[in-house]
Amino acid sequence: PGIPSREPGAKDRVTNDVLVDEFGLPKVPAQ
Amino acid sequence: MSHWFHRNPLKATDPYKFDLKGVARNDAAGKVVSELRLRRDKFLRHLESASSDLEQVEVEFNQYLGLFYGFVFDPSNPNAADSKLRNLIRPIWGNSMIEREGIELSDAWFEALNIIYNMAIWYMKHAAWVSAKDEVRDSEAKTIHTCLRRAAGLFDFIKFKADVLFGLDDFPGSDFNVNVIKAYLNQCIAEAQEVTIARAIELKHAPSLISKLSTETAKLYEDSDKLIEKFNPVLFDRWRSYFQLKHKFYLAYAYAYLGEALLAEDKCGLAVRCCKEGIKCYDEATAACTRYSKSSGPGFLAKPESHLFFRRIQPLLERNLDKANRENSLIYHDRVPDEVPPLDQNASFGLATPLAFEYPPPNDTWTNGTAYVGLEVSRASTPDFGKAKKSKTKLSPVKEEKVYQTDKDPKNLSGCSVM
Repeated sequence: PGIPSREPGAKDRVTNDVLVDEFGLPKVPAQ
Repeated sequence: MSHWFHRNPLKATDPYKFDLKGVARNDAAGKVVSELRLRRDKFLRHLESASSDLEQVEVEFNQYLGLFYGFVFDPSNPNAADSKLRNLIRPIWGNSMIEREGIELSDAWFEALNIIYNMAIWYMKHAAWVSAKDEVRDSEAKTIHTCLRRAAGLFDFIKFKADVLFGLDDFPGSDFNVNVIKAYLNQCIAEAQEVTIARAIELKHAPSLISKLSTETAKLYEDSDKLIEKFNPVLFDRWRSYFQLKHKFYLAYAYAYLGEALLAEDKCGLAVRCCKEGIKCYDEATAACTRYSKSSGPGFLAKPESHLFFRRIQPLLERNLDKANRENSLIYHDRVPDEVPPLDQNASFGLATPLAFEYPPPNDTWTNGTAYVGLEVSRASTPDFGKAKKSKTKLSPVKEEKVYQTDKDPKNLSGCSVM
């Protein structure tokens, strides 16, 4: 699973079918 | 990221008195006029320090524009038609790159867009101030990222609206030149992506993702440099040098992480070539830093070469190169190509976008219509519908407060203070 995002309160967004954090990075790294 | 971001000065202006006594024919109109003068001064004073409270500055910015609404738009018109007061005021504003020479234009949009411009520059300064703390935590990284995106949104709004101002093209390098606006916009987006790159490194995202994002960021800096290349080098050289050094620096990062990705795919020959190209870009970035530190032009000098985020790229490239060379000579025996592997520009993740800005709604004073009716244009001396003119008033540069920047190295993986 890798390192989880450090923003548990952040709203989920989806980019290219991948859940991303507020910076637009995948919630689960090493995609 | 102390001393990491180059910042241009705030735009200077002459104190504007909103001296419309003969025009303001009722109490509500008189109140708007006197309050505008006070709020303008107060807002501009707060911008002088990059460390001013973000929320308070945003409130004052919105309040001033809300109170100024009736000079730009007709408050009684639901379609935000032009105000009858639009040409009534004549403020003097300088430019961020040409500080002392003021420009006059009788247009309320000239005032509004200059205020918005200064807010955008302040957002950039506030982001740099937050980034220069001893320790930058996750929430602060988010603040930096958001401030830069908000600034980009403001520049986007200015770019869209700048056409309404008449005669500013006669001033080369003015803040309302479309290339200058685009350069600022690109800078904000690129710097927001820098935060994301540091975060991606911290969270150990895929090297290919970091490489693509670095490539996109390098491209933005390269484009920004081209946008301002034709302006007076005495004024623009420093800003251009900053773009050049960041372009080369992020190319070095892009090659370092592409090399790592290729190494993971056992493509050792290509990885060797990538790392060599990365080292070349790093050397060019170092040389660009020297040029930047000696360059002429306004703005607060950054010292990127002394920052850990800058210094860590050379050992990273050398480590990847050693590993690729070792594995290639022992196992793969790939040919090292002369041609550099192409960088992939199509980043799918982490690209920053401007946060859209909309002109704030009118202050309550305008909504009941009394103040608007009470400002009688017919009682003003003939409004000047002419184009922008160079002012005889020499403007004093804004006295910007120096803010603390740490010299400590961050204690984390990326060398950037995004923890």
